[in-house]
Amino acid sequence: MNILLFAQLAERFGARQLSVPHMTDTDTLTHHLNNTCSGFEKEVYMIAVDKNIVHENTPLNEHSIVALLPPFSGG
Amino acid sequence: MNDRKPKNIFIAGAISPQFIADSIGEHAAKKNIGAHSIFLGQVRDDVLAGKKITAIEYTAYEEMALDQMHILRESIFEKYSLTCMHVHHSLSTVEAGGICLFVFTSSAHRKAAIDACEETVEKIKKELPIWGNEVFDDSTHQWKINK
Repeated sequence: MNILLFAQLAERFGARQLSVPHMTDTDTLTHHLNNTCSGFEKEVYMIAVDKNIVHENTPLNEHSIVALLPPFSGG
Repeated sequence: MNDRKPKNIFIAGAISPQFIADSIGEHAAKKNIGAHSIFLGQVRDDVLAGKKITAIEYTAYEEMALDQMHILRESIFEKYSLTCMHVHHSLSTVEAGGICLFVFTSSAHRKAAIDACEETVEKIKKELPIWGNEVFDDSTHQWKINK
């Protein structure tokens, strides 16, 4: 599945999307990122699933649109 | 029941003073308006560690930002007696001195317009997935932090 990246995270990966194996839920995704990307557990971000921010473990399906959102700084 | 649909708030580059003036002028025909409240966000040339900001580059999760802005707009109309409300935010590069955010609320009486404008500005900065990358005069950059 593709994860949408923005701002600092897009800069870190040099891309606006990150391809990962299919994840069953957001906790699994977080663990995968922390285990495969050095220092990722220090990154500050929120997770959005289908354009809604989630604060708890959330199931993902093959159609889920997941985005990692660094702290907002518009305006 | 209203017929307000999600609006595209994004403008490429700086928001021109002429655009702002034209927006004000377009409301002259709405004779039930007694007050407008306008907020303009301008890119400031802060100096950080001896380096001066020359511009901010804005990016956004546009689809989500427009959805969130629509929800915000509906909540503001629910809470305040407004005639109308217009929001515009820049994307891409805005140089120091350029306008990057334009919030414009109108009502019959001033309190609703003033209060709605302030609340809308605060919520845009807090809730919309928009990011600013501050560009310095030595071509380095750092991601903006909203306070």
